[in-house]
Amino acid sequence: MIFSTGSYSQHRYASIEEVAAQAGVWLEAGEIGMVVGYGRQSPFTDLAMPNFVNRVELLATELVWNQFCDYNLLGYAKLGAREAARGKGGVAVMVKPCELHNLDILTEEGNMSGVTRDNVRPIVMRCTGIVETKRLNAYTREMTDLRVQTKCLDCPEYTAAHGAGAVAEQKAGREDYQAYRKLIEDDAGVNWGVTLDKCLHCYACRNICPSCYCTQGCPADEAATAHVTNALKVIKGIDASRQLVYNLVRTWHIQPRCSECQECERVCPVGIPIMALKAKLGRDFDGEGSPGDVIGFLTNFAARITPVAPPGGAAPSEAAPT
Amino acid sequence: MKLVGTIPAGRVWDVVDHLSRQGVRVVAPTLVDGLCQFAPVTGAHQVVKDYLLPQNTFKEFLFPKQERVFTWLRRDDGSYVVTEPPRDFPETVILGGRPCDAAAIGVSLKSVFSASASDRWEHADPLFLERFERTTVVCISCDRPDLSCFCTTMGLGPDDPTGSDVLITASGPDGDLVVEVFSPKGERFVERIRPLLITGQSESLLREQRLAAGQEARGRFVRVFDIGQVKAFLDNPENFDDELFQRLGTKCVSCGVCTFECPTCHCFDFKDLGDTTGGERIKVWDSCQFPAFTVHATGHQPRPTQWERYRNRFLCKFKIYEDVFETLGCTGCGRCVRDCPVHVDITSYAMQSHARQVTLLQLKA
Repeated sequence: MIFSTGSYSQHRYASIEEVAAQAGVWLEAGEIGMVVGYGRQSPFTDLAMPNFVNRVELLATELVWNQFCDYNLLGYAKLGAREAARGKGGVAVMVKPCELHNLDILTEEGNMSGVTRDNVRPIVMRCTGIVETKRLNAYTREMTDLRVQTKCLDCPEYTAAHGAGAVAEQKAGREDYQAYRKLIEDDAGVNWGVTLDKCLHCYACRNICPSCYCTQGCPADEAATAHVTNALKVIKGIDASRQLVYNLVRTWHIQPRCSECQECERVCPVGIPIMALKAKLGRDFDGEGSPGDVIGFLTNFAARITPVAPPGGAAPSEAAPT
Repeated sequence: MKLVGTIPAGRVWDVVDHLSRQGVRVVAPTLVDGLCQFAPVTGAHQVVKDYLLPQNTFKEFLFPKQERVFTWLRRDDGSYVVTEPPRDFPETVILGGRPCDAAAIGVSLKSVFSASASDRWEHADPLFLERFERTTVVCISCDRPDLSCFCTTMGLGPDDPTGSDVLITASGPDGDLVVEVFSPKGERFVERIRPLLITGQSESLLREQRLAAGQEARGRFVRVFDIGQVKAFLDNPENFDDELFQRLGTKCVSCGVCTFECPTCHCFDFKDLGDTTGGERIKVWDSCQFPAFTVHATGHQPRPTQWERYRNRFLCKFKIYEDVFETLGCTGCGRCVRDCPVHVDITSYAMQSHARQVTLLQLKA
């Protein structure tokens, strides 16, 4: 993971009281219109739902900061431009240190994302690791066994907080971390055609991505990928599924902006190893692609991983359970 | 309802081997790439025995995420042949479904795909109904909920038989599984597994133990809240533009996880793939949370902002289902609560709507 925290405040806000104090000053001065932060999801859990607070007196009570604040609030960074257009300056956003790279990407591409150093102010939280909230739910039945996300184990801030030795021990003891690293480096065991066909087209990976900021004209949206699927079929005779085409287009498109925050993998409801696909695409392109012919490379890739229908059997588009 | 006997504790998954040998497709909770999912299995060893709720619903075995409706092909003389795929759906047993899914799919989802007795709804979907005819839903009562389950709040429960053909409940001191049958499809299932059944025990004792087990599981629910006034709040047209919807709905990131994992979400779309020489029309899941949902050919978008789209989902679950289909729109499985990328919580919506209506009533009084 890439870290470039140098250009931002080195100060880390450890508590909501500190956040409220700083944001209160900005709000009262009219420099921001609201704070984009984490709030309490429900009385039943400690999970955090996004919360937009625009009144000083509510800051201390409506915001929360805990180990369950897993998603990246920079997905809401475009609200900064909205507030600025209303003459309210912009927004302050609670961010984790690992998310500052996304802020760099958004400001670098500010002419398209609308994010500038003026309209989005990061409130950088002191983070000691975020737990895998997925393990709170019924599907795994391990409600008490909390552990930090795999990305935290590679984070310098987490290592600084817990000590290099302890983190190395955790890395060695966690099978899921090792499996993840192995999958990134070598995907030999994955049948990509079958894996990508599981995709539900829910767009959670795209919509949670903190580096995705377009509001229209997405090359990975429903209509665009349907056109590509159709063109592959009609022109090239490649019977790739819509699911496969969507994943290739999206993963390739986000490649240069990816900060490897693994949010897309966290939210995928069918468990597609998206980071491994990204790594594989990069590797294969380095090996066989030519910089002038990205479309040719992706077409060949799609043809290579498209499942071949058995003779007389179901076509790939009928492969869904009947 | 008929209590037909018991299966000894720990032997319920032998049903999988038993049915597979008879050529029946069995769908049960199994590990698919590390996730507990409903998928076809052929042996008891493939089943996840210690599961609470699979991540997907078994909706996809009645209403697939993508299926071919017909294909077209141009002949040399310029005429077209249109072919519908054969509807030879296999006989299927869903084993280990949960009562929330059974009520949602066997009653609510079915009401959407069948024409109603009243004149409110005319659509009948043969693809769904023919699959439904060949599917037997065998549920196993939950022994406990997790933090996101809220079926008791929706008027169901961990041992509620609504929508199940057969309900199996672990009860009594040995944890034996009491088998109850609720439909002719269930009768046929019981005939198939007859050798595994133990009969001849005292029926009243079994019934007593089974009710006690259900009560015990009910007592473990954490997410219990009051939704008594939610429908009244939504029924009042003055509340349609209430600031509550805007405040909560803006946070939604507009993905389709909640709708695709929801057992009662039923929206679909048709897509044409191919060209004039040949191609296929496919039916695919669609989600009301997508910006392109129901956009008119003129470009008019009836719900241009995300909070309006989220309001639509909320209305669909807590008002429209009741008004149009006279069934529950939400059965409290909690999947949308568990898997929302940003932890947006529909129960939080419901609680706040209820509270708001109570406040409005108090102001009026």
